[in-house]
Amino acid sequence: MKNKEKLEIVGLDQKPKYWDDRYMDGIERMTPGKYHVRKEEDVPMQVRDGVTLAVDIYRPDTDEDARFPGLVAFSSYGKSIQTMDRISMQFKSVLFDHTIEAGDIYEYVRHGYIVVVPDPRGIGKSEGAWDGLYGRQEQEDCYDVIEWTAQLPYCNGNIGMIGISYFSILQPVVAALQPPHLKAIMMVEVVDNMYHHNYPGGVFVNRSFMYTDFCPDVNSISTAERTYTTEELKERIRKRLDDPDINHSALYSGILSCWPPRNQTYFFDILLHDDDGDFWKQRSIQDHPEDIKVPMYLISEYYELGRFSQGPFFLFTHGDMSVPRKLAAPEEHDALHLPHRIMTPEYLRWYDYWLKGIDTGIMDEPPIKLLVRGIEKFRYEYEWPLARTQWTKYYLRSGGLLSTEKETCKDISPVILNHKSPYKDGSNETYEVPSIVFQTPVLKKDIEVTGPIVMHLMCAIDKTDANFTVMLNDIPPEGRPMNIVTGNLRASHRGLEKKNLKPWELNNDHTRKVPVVPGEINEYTIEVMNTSMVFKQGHRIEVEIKNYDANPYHWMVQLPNSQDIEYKVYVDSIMASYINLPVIPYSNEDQWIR
Amino acid sequence: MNEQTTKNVCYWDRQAEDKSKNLSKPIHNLRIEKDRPIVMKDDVRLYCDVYRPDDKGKYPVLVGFSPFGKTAQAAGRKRDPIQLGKFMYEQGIEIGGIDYFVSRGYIVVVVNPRGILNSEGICTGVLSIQDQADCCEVIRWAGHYLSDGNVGMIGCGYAGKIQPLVASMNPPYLKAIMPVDVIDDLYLDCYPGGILSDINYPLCSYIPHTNTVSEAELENSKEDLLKMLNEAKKQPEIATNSYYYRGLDSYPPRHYTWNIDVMLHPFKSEWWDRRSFGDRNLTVPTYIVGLYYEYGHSAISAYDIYNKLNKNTPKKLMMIDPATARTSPYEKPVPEQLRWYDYWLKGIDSGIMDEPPLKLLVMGENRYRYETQWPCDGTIYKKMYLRKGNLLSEAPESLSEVAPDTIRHIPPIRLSQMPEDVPALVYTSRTFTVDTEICGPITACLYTSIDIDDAHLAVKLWDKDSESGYRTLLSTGYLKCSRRKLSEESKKHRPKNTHTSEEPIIPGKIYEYIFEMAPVDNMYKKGHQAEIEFKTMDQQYFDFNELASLPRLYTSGRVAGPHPLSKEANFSVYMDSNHASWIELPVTEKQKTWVE
Repeated sequence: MKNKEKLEIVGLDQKPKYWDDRYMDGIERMTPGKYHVRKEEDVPMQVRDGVTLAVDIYRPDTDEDARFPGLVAFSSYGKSIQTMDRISMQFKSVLFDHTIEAGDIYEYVRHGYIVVVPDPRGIGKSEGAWDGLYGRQEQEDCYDVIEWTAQLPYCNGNIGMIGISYFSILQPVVAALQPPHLKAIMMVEVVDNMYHHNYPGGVFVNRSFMYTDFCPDVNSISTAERTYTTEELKERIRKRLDDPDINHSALYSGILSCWPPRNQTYFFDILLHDDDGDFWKQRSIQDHPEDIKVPMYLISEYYELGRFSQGPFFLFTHGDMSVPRKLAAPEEHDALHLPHRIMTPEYLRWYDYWLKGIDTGIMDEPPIKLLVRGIEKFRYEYEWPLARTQWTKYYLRSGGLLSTEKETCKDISPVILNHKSPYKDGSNETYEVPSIVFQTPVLKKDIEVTGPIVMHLMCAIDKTDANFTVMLNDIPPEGRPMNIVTGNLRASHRGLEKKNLKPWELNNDHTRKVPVVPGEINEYTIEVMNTSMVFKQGHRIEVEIKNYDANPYHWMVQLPNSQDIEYKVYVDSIMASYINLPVIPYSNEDQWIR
Repeated sequence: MNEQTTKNVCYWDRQAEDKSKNLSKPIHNLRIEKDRPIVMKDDVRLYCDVYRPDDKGKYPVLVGFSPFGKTAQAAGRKRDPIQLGKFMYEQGIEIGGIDYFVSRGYIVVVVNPRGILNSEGICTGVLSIQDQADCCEVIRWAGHYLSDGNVGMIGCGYAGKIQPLVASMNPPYLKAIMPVDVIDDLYLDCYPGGILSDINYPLCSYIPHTNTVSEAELENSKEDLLKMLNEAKKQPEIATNSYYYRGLDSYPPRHYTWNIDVMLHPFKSEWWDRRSFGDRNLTVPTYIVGLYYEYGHSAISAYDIYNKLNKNTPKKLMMIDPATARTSPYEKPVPEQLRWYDYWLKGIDSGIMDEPPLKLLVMGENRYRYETQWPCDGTIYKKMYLRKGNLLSEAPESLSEVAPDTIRHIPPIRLSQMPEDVPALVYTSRTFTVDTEICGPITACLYTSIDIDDAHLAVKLWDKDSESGYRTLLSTGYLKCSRRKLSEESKKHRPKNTHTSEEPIIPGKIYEYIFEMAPVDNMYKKGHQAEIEFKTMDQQYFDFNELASLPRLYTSGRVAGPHPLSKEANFSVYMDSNHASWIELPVTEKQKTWVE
């Protein structure tokens, strides 16, 4: 059978970019999109403690005596908007909504699945009090929804999970509870560590403000208010309000000054827990990936900032390695369209295999496929980091040079960065936040960087703490620089012992703050995240260092330090600062997706 | 600010500067009394911060009553003013000049309203009857326990808008008010031209409320409330907007309750009058400070409330800044506030009542001038006609057979559209040959047909520098077509559409749509052009995207502006001799008295 005919059976006009001609066997066995959809709204469902959730069920409208697998889509964004009538809209367009993330619900049902979307407790029409995202309560409620779905009379007892971002981040922590009927999971945008999702490297970013904003909570109590005694809670709030970076902001100090603290409750929890600890561990998979016992398909977008670029790679390389797993990185975040449809064929191929027992051929492919940015081509890989990586130190040099050659002279003055507090003399223009930059000479040939990236910075600050923002940028000969990936570190989270580190390892401790001695030179290891990018011939590679980045094209921003800070970045032969880039020297011809 | 002298205030003339030596001097140290309780009539306790001279004396009191509460104002004291659009600008900082006034012998009381921060009770939305009554109690308490018998009010934004509402209730001790920003008709602020606006959702997320219930939930049976919610959910622009829809599809509807109330009251009614100045009677001396907001109903309200005040009420008006010049905290009006309150609360001869009653910033010229009335005496209302070939001309078309310009609206849910790429028809005037001041109300008249039964019209007025091409937005106006009928309240040059009911449009029929735009005072400089833009939706009216302290994602897809029409529609804008579409600009050619 020709590939074209196979695609017709699946109901696709075009082969998705991430499918390879060589691995199309089995496509023809997938369930075609033949069912009409029946929707049942506000079906009551009781979780273990008797609280009733309102659930929407979408299922094949058929008289056949057939049983279908179930797909659970769980988030607090509200069930009612997930199938609103709209095209798949691009990020940043008018009326785009980042919370319509459950995915292509109608398409799954047409292909023979039941899709179940609840309002979590305290959200929309469900009873109970909301506890924010990913907590133990949400994990257990989701577990109960999975088991409830499995016993629906028209369900075959095999359950998977769908949806991107929020819907995906929840999947590993629920899978780790091992609900008996959950047979496989598949994520787009998944996070290994929720602390770093909100405090990358310990630096607060404002991303999560919108969660309470976007979740229609009608009754909510924070985890902190449930966990601590009144005295403890008041003491924690008082300490947090002592942080000058926080108390300079009307918004953040306002949320922390509510009593009882019932404004933006999840964001309140995030503000309150500014070091890594139990609050974050409960919501993160990083400490217990071995509890996941079901096959997992991990998909990431390339984010310029934040944890989505890390989660899939962490889960791919950790946990019970006997569990089947796949990984893909198919697009940049700015290309995101919602409702999310580009991965639907892959979802069907995955779940037809694991939930319907159809050999769709999905497990015959190599386990990793990456979009290589810059050349925009897909490639197969087998391991992470790539075994053929040439770890290459690009040194920060005086005169703004970024070079693979280390400085030979020891008497070179450090490079100075002066951070100006936005609260003095009328703030900074968003495009003109003070920074220092280091650029390679114009590249004579393409350089591919694929893998995890770590910055080693020899630096002294004139205060007891400071934020670092490190941006890896692609500078074309003409036009705007493009930020590829960004990393952060809070200086007081640096590790204190000297360690022998692998090129992708860090020496930080985010559980406490140890003040820096002003003027003391420290080595800071800063996680600049994973990426795959070809810097083209004629371009330059740039490293930019600043306190925070407020460029308007970014949709989240690091909270700046509220005082002026002088950074001395050392670039001499003894105290050398460098970024360690995973340079890929070659790829075999048959790795490229055809 | 505390250090700032009263020299070189840009809106003061020489006489005002001379008299400024009479003003209170910064001689007091500041003491804060945090979280003092104030008991409301129903035993609910509000908490306030009292900023006062560090002694046991009694002083005049200035009350600041903002829905953003006292924490935001405390944060405002830690920063130099940050301009709108710059990083860490924050809308919630509404009360500026706290230290300035205390050092000069005033007590400043900053309140957490009901259900906000640590105050007890339930918040029922901005400018509620409840807040108005509470604010009267705060004034009475401050007057009785703290003051020398004299109380005034300070603040901008909502802390300004509540002042005329409260003052019209005549609370004891209140001797004068000086609101920066006022609102005459809150309905038109939330529904410009009858189209649901997007400003209230970010407002709800930014107010530090701990306990809120909508008035709709308080006032209606469950049955009626559900009926109202279901009715609102069917409204096409809400049914296609996930941000709004999900709030209505919750029960009880407790997510962003103020926005719920706004959505449940789509027509002008008594419900809106409760939060509007309307026909209230205000006799307390009033100094209104306005900004030239190109959007919403705040700029026009400054003039309208001023004009409505009784002849015997001492009153003044200053239009002080373009909206983009606003800062957080907003300290520019503070020296004038001192002049006002030194006169009315301390009896100091500050000379403030000797000046002409109006001071207007002339944008473009960037200077202030005195005026005695608004609209100004001798205003010439000049119609500029939309003409074929993207022209804006003083002469209407003479031919009766000129094809209309057409524009097609594709709803954003059918085609991804970036805010800056929304289609528009543009009409540009010839360059001005002499500096020309436009000061007053602006009216648009469009002869338009649409191919469905209702649609949205948006018109924007720009000042364009013909050399650089740089444009400054001056004014916007909107109309939901089915609200086209002019009401009895309309006056010459001040059209008012009917917002109590809707009349469906006959597809294909040409209607005359007349509606008011935001008022301006702008000097079109020689070499500049007036430019009109017609759009079917407008998502860039106001720089909410530049609330840079919030994640931008939060505004990236959520538009800021009137909700876009949810259906596809084709518009024909006519400009032939029988259907000459126009915009009316108020030209003032009279001799001007500049503030020097």
